[in-house]
Amino acid sequence: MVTHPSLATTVGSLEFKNPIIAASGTFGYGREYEPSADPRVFGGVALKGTTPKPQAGNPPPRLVETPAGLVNSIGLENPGIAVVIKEKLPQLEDLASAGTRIILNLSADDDNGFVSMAEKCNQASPLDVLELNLSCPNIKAGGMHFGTDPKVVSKITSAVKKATALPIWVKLAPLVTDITVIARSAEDAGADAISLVNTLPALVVDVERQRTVLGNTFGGLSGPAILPFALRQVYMVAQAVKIPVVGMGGISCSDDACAFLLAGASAVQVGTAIFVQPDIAERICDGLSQYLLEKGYEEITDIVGRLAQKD
Amino acid sequence: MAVLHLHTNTARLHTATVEYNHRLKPGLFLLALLNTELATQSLPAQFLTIKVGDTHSPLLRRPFSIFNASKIAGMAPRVEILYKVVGQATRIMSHLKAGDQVSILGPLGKPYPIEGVSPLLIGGGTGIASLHFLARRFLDKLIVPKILFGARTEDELIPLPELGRAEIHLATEDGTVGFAGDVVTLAKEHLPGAHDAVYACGPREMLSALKEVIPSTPPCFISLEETMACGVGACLGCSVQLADGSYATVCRQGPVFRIEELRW
Ligand SMILES: Cc1cc2nc3c(=O)[nH]c(=O)nc-3n(C[C@H](O)[C@H](O)[C@H](O)COP(=O)(O)OP(=O)(O)OC[C@H]3O[C@@H](n4cnc5c(N)ncnc54)[C@H](O)[C@@H]3O)c2cc1C
Ligand SMILES: Cc1cc2nc3c(=O)[nH]c(=O)nc-3n(C[C@H](O)[C@H](O)[C@H](O)COP(=O)(O)O)c2cc1C
Ligand code: FES
Repeated sequence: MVTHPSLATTVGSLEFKNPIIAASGTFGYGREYEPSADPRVFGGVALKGTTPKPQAGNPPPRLVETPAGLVNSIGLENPGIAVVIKEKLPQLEDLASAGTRIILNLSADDDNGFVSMAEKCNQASPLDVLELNLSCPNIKAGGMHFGTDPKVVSKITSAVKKATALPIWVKLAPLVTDITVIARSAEDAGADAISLVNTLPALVVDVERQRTVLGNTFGGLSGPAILPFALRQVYMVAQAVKIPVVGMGGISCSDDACAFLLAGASAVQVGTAIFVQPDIAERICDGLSQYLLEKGYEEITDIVGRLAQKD
Repeated sequence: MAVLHLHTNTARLHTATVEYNHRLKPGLFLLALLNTELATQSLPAQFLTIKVGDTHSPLLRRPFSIFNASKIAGMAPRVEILYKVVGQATRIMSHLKAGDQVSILGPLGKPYPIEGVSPLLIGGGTGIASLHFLARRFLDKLIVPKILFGARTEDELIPLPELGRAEIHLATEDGTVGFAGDVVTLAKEHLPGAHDAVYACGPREMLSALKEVIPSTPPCFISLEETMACGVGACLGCSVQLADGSYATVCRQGPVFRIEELRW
């Protein structure tokens, strides 16, 4: 009989103490939720999207709730890579010591921007993964088109791969004609894993005032509303590539996380649900352990991709 | 940035029990939550966020200013929230009953600095919540604040029985009670007085009108509201633009700002 199932998983060669990772942009630089919630409970923490230079972000309002969802247009407000490396990462030593992996999410206008940040990260610590945001739908100048063009995905991925020894996760936009083509181009270019999905492009209208709600017109939809679509995209990609997949989109309980793992994700990220329940990582881990006990599995990795094996 | 004074972040996730949920007027409620930590640690202008219901709709926690926090010997330690029913979450909240449990995150944000011996407090609508708590703290220090409180009509004015010792001036835009006009026009009559600190909370239009009439001294502290997701400074969703063009989070760097710090 199984008594202490293990939640440990691996994404490529990197071990995670549990498969629950805080999604970029929803957990700041790792410390903001303290003392309400302990960041060290997470298997990993993906930090706020960081750009080569400081970025002010979009005009407010930046948030609006929609049915079972949230539309945001933060506009990648961040202090720039130099400050993140010098001031934010060093504050995360105790997370690293507790076995919580540190994932830095990067965003840039072109491949040079990504490469210059990756090079700077070679001396940065603690840092375990670079997650390339090829999907941020908010920045008018780029964002969306990187993740929709397999050639661009390939070019950026291989350029960054050459610039660093750190594992690279390529984070994909969900809304493309064929997500598997994009995922394969990242794999062929040397990505260590694919993470998906980012938010879905969205628009919210204030009918009374006859104008758009968000200061920047468009935003990105996240939360439970996008889960079935995200799950489908994760399942498709998991079938199409050999490298690991990190799944996300609307996860708010252990059953949701379980669904992504069964669909082939080696680990999952949780974003919007942290806003609702800051102690979500603990809740999901407890739920997953319970699930493994009930089903008689010894390890969480036993359920990864079971959906496909049953086909 | 924002108001510079030392403040220890004491925010925690709490499960609080509803002590009562009184309907003060149509669409206006006073919710009391029993929780010793919140009652002890909350300070004026701080807020808490409530997860309303246990479904995905409404999804996000909702922020509310702390109207009162009391820990009086012989009484249960409680915090009170004054809220107006404006949409789905507040409608559901209006059905909360004594004994119900709710998930609370708080206290959040930086409090008003308590300065001066002759404070002027200017509130509009539910913006009176944080000023009520502030007035209580001044009264505890035997300082009598002057409060200017405005609403559109008498029906929207909130009863303030616990501020008996304060000097309260009411304003209604339709003239049903008190000064006939908006609270900023009323404030113009009181501003040249001997006040050594001004505190204001209310709709954005009220605060920007106040900016037009406020002298550069004494200091004027305002408390802002913005749509929020995390409430702790993690998502950067509640940012407001400062005079220098940069952004500051209302939830973490605020909600209190000096009036001249903001871009209006
Ligand atoms: C720091 C802070 C303190 C607050 N204190 C109080 C308080 O003491 N008493 C009180 O009644 N309300 C307060 N509010 C506003 C309160 O949070 C909103 O009224 C509430 O979230 C509305 O939720 P709903 O689901 O009922 O309405 P929704 O359906 O979400 O919205 C209904 C209407 O309210 C507006 N609204 C929604 N969220 C906010 C918001 N965060 N701020 C302002 N307007 C909003 C919407 O634009 C819409 O017009 C505060 C807000 C903040 C940010
Ligand atoms: C407020 C907010 C900010 C975000 N910022 C980023 C970001 O900077 N970089 C990024 O790759 N994704 C960002 N995302 C997307 C999330 O990381 C995640 O992909 C998406 O929200 C779906 O997961 P969820 O439904 O669990 O939130 C952001 C999402 C939200 C809600
Ligand atoms: S609500 Fe998230 S930063 Fe203020």
